[in-house]
Amino acid sequence: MMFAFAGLLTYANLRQASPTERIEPVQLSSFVFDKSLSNTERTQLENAVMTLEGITAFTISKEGNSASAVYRMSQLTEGDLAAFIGRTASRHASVKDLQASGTGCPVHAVGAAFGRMLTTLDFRN
Amino acid sequence: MKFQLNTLLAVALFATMAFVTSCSDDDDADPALYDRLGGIDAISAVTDKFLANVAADSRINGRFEATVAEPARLQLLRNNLIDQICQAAGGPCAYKGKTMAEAHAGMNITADEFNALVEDLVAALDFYDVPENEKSDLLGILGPLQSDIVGK
Repeated sequence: MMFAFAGLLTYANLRQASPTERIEPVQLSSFVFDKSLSNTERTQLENAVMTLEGITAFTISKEGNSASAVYRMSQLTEGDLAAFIGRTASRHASVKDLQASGTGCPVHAVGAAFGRMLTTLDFRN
Repeated sequence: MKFQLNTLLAVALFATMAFVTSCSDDDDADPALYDRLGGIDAISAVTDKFLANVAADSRINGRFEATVAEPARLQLLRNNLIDQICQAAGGPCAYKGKTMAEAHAGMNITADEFNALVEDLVAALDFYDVPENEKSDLLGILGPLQSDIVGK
């Protein structure tokens, strides 16, 4: 068992690591509005959200009834973001409950977890 | 002694000229697309905007919902996208994900869905005012992937 761990540790620190592994992780949250936004409201909300510390991307749907945000979890929480969006847009913005199961983009949980473990064991990060 | 000094000066002058000439040649060489795009930080910013666009796009966000709902899977998708763009643009990254054909086998992606994805990518590039040349170069590299993705 120890040899296996030692082997994994060696591999993690000798493999060619990508610069992307050093980029801070992000979270993605989606929000649904109780009423669609006008074009003016969309622009105002997008500009306001992008000034938040920790936000890396924010997009309102073409229909104007939902939005998605990508942000650094170390600087922003989903709750704070929802509250800010709701206040700024004068709408009720509820967090969309994304389903973690189902068909679609095949980034598998096991592969993702293994990759995360290698990054954690890599002392070069 | 005087002869040796003159010889030394001549060699130093020649070496300097050679150095300056070679440096000028390097300056004339086209920088890689990776550098022209702005490096890893710029590619990362475009990728995040692309992910937000896709998640807000009702035409295709259902395809990605399960992945973006889980933090570990979202990170892997994000890192794979950044690596793929970075590597294709000549950057110091290594894409370690599946091939596009393997990744999309059995998903029956339609041409409309692929086009929607490309629109979201173009919108992300436009959001960051990526110049037309760099945008065309990048889309030219990624465009041929369509045959590995659509209808598989």
